[in-house]
Amino acid sequence: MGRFNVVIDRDLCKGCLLCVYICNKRGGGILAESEERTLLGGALPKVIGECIGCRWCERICPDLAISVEVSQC
Amino acid sequence: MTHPLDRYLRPGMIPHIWCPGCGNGIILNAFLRAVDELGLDQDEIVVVSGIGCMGRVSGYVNMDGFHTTHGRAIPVAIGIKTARPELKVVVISGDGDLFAIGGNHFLHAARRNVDLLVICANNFNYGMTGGQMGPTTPSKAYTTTTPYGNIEHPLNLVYLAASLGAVYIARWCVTHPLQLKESIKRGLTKRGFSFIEVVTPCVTEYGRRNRMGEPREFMRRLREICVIRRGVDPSEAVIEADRIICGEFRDVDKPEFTQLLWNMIREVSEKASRGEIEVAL
Ligand SMILES: Cc1ncc(C[n+]2csc(CCOP(=O)(O)OP(=O)(O)O)c2C)c(N)n1
Ligand code: SF4
Ligand code: SF4
Ligand code: SF4
Ligand SMILES: [Mg+2]
Repeated sequence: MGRFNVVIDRDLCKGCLLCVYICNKRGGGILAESEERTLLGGALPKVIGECIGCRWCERICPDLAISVEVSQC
Repeated sequence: MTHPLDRYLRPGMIPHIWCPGCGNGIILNAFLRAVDELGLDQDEIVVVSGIGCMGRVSGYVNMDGFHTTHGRAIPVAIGIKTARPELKVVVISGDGDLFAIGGNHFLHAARRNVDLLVICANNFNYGMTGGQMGPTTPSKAYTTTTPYGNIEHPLNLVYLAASLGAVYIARWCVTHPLQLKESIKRGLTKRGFSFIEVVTPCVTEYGRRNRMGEPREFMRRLREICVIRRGVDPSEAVIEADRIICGEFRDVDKPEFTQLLWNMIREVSEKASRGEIEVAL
C-alpha cells in the first residue's frame, strides 16, 4: 500500500464525481467511477492506483465526503 | 467516518441538502479550511446568511450564526458586529439574497466600511425557488422567468463593490479552491468591508436550462471561462457568459465603522463624565 490512503464516506458521497474529474485533471489520475452506489444513490468513486497525496479531491468535494490520510507505516 | 473538517460541521446537519455537484459545498469546504488554517477559535466567528440554497450554510457550520429572513443577512451582521466588535462576522449568501432583495443593505454596509466579510455565491439565478432570473443572470441566459432568453443586463458585483469603497475585493470560481481559501483568509483578517464573489455552478436549475451538463461538464466549462488575472482594474473585471475575469481587485485600508463608532462613544462619555458636554439621554 502507498503512503496515502483515500477515504470515501459512503454515507455522505452524492456521486457527483468531481473528485474523479479533478484527480484526472490535476491529481494522480487514480480515481474512477465504480458500479457501486452511495447511500444517497450516486455513483461511488473508487481508487484504481497509487494516490500522490495532492488533496485536490479533498478540496473540490462539495460534500466533504473524501479525504486523504497519511499511512502510519 | 471522520473527515479532517468534521469539527467545524454542526452535528446532525450533514449531509447537506445541496444537489450533487452544487458548488455551494465547495465554498463551504474552502471557508472551513480557511478558518482551520488561521487557527481561529470557532466561538469567535459568527456566520450570518439569508434565504436561498447558499443561505442554508449558517445551519451547517458549527459556529454561532443567524439564518435571517430573505435579504437581511447584512443588517443582522452589522448589528452583531456593532454590539460585539471583537467577533469576526461573516455573511455567506446567494446572489439573489444579497443583490436583489438585499441589494440596498450591501450598498450601505460597503459605503460605511463595516468590518464584515461578505461572500456571495453567484450561481446566476435563484436556485432554491426553481431557477428564476436575478440581478446577476447573464444577458440571453435561460431561466424559469426568461424562457426566451434574458433581456436584462447583469450587475458586475466586483465593479459595484469597488464603486462603494469596499477595502478588499476578489472574485474566484469554485474551480479555484486554493485561491478562494487564501482569499477568505485575507478577508477574515482584514479590517473593513471585504467582498468575495464566488462563481459557482447551480447544476440543477441554471445548469440544466443553459445546457451546462452534468457536474463534471459544468466544471470543465467554468474552467475554460474563468481566468485569473493580476492587477486588473475593477472596471475591467468582465463577467460575461463566455469570459469571467477572476482575481484580487483591491486591498486597501480605510477607517472602519464600528471602531469609529466605539471611539466616539468612549470620547463622548468621558467628556460627559467630566462635565465638559451635556449628553441628552
Ligand atoms: C420575502 C421573501 N421573498 C421571496 C422569497 C422566496 N425566495 C426564497 S430563496 C429566493 C432567492 C434565492 O436566490 P439566491 O440568493 O441567489 O440563492 P440560491 O438559492 O441561488 O443559492 C427567493 C426569491 C422569500 N423566501 N422571502
Ligand atoms: S466529489 Fe465528493 S461527493 Fe462527489 S463523488 Fe467525489 S466523494 Fe462523492
Ligand atoms: S489526493 Fe490527489 S491523487 Fe490522491 S485521490 Fe485525491 S486528487 Fe487523486
Ligand atoms: S438548486 Fe442549484 S444552488 Fe440549489 S442546491 Fe441545487 S444545484 Fe445548488
Ligand atoms: Mg443564486
